[in-house]
Amino acid sequence: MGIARNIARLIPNGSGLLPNANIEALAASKLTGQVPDANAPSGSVIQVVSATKTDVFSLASLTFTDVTGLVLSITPISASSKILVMASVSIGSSGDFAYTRLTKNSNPINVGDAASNRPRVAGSVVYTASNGAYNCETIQMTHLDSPATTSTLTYAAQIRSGSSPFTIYVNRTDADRDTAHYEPRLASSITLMEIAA
Amino acid sequence: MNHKAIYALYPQVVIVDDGEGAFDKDGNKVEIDLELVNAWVDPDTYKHQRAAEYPSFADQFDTLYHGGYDAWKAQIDAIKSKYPKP
Repeated sequence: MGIARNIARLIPNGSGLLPNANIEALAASKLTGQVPDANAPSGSVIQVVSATKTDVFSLASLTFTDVTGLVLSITPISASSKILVMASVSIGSSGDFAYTRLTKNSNPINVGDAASNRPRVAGSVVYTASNGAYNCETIQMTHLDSPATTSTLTYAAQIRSGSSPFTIYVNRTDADRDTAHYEPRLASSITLMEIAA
Repeated sequence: MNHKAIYALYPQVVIVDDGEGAFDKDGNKVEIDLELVNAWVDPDTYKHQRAAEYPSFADQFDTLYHGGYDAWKAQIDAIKSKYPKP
């Protein structure tokens, strides 16, 4: 009877729940199990998705276009979460410049300020007369987004050519000679991390 | 997949992806004749072959200094002749 009465005091109303007020002290070692993602401490990584592209994509256009394989969706667990977007895009060009940027739901999220007609981009690769055809550069892009939603979001890495008619490539050079030491095939990737606020 | 051949043979193509194929500016898939693509000869091949064999600028200047213009020209001519322009 004594034990039952004590338990009834701790857990009143037959709720099965132990009120915070009835907890005097609890050793950390008694805490086991998993904290629900929605209750994760600020700064915790609560969700990660990633994609790596190892084959070749090319584009002959002045319009920013999604790179196939570098498009990724995430559904935030909490509307207060941040989304850390990290992308690495290896770009070769057949002339002039190549540009890259990140988008969320097709809208650019990490570009320079508007300045008249100037292209607004996150990264640029230049084609040099001496070795442009044999070069491929890897652009790293990072952006911390605050989407304020629990709806599914789609992030993408995009590229475009600086001028016509130059073709630009992801994961290879323009010349793409078949040698053992030059003009490698590369890999690109995009990673999304949901960070608890 | 030979991207350069596809762009040369199918002018409407603006996107080529090894895994997904070729597409026009409206996102429509363009059917590719792989036999045609594989038979295509890159007209720029000679440029890349020459570029791979030209001496470095430093070596070319060295040849100019020690051997003069004729020696330098002979060196370059040999490479151009080895890989003639089509």
